[in-house]
Amino acid sequence: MKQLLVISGKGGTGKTSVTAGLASLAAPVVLADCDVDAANLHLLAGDGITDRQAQAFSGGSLAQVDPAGCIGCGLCSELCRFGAIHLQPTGARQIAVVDPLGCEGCGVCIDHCPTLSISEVPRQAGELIDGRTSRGPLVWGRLEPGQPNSGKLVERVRSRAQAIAKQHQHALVIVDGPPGIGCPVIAALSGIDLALIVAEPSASSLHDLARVVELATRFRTACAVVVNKADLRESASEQIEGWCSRQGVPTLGRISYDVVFSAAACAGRSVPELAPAAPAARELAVLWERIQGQLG
Amino acid sequence: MARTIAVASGKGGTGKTTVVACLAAVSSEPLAVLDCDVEEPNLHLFLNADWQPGQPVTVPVPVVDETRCNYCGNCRLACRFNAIAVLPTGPMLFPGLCHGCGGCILACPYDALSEVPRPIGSMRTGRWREHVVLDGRLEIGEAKSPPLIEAVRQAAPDDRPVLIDAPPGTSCPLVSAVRGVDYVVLVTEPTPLGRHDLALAAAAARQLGLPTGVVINRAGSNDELITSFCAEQGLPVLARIPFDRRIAAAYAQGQLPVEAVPELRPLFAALAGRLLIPAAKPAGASREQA
Repeated sequence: MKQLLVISGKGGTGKTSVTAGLASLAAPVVLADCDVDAANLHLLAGDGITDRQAQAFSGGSLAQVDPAGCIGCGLCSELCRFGAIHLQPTGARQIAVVDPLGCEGCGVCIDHCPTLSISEVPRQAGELIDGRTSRGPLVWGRLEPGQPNSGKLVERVRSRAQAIAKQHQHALVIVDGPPGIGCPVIAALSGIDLALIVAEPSASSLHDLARVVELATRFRTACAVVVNKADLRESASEQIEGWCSRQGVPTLGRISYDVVFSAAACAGRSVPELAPAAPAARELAVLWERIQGQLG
Repeated sequence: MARTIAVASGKGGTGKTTVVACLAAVSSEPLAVLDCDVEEPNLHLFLNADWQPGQPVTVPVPVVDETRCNYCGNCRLACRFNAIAVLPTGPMLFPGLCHGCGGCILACPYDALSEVPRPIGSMRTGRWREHVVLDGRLEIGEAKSPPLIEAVRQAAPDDRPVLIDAPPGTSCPLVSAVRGVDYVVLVTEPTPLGRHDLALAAAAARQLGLPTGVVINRAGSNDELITSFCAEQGLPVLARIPFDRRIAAAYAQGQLPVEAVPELRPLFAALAGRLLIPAAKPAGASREQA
């Protein structure tokens, strides 16, 4: 089984539209949407999602104070380095109160409470969801707003997708990655056969591309670049391709800026499904062929 | 007290940095402008500031004094993040997993653990026109950006309004960038994806108890997708930036859209007036007709 990751560094360069396009060309395929903060691939699922099932994702733990036992000594708030627990006047006394969005689940308050009045509870951090689409199985994560541990949820989404691929003998998993270079991206990179980086011809994209290529290199992941919206600014597209060639990063083609992408998004489909004759659809087909070449 | 405004989005690439750079360009009063998208800081490409040399930003991580360590394993038991293993040869520390909570230090009965600073990135300060600009840059391969985001926010001068370019998403980096601000501006685009992610970001802002308004970027014939959501949620639409290829071209070249497309100036001047001048509190301002 091979795993293809689609990332970008900078957000909004067209990862999800490219992923959906590749998925419809590669079908049947297993899809894993690892942009767990803001998963979008299921919005471009084509003919809809059947057999949808969700399971709770609990990421780490949270401190919980038993108000009956709390003597208001304030030691917890003194020791917490995240400012996540403080005393609050409650009736005639002071009681410790946890701020769930600040709590890291480190357990320092729990371990040092003199009356053992703080306990650890699992944090309901989101959901792991999967279903069937016309292109194959789709797995995605939904992190509750403001929750930590997005990297852990990425790992869960990926291992579920891999298990499905093994069970149904799929040869390829396509992973739609998160923006940035932080923990969810690092979690998305492990064990990937090829990271396809979607760039666009802007100063920001080139800057962010360099950082994400360095990250992939550090994790010894092969990467390749496609320039999306390439005709918006020819000179910058050439600059990106020149930079890639100097770095030894293969470029697998260009995709034109085309309103058919927003039409497809509004229709909940991919470009090859909505407009197979559009230039962008043909460019995606060329890209898919070259990716297969890279994956071997 | 000066106001703090964060510009965030949920979905990446909706135009946060464009909005921040344009607000800074038209603001009639000096601001502190903070790039808190430390994984991919881009504001410096638009605000050509004279930067001071960068300063490292560190987090505390434990080190062990092997002459004092008794291999008791209390530190390992205290650590909820598996950042410490105790082997027959002594404790082994995994700084990348450490959250810097200090639990191991408190747990060690032999005073064998102490803390040293570990760099996770850098931040710098510069001046751009009358504004102070700060940005953070996460070291590549570093997983956790929140301590760096907090360091950038703490370094902001407190004598002027603060404008924050927040990271995309809805998880801990966003929370670090927006927690405690006076107002959150969510930038979105009129597509189903834009609407979906706006809903997630608005939910995060609501959980944090922050007053929120929406800017529609690349506005046009599909705005109803966003305005209907805003009406449902009671979120004011603060501005609509029209879809215009010239704006995209300016952005692509790292030019300020308000300078490349002068008609945008009144739009951003009105938005700056509404957001940054304390008298014109956006929360109480009248809503644009959807």
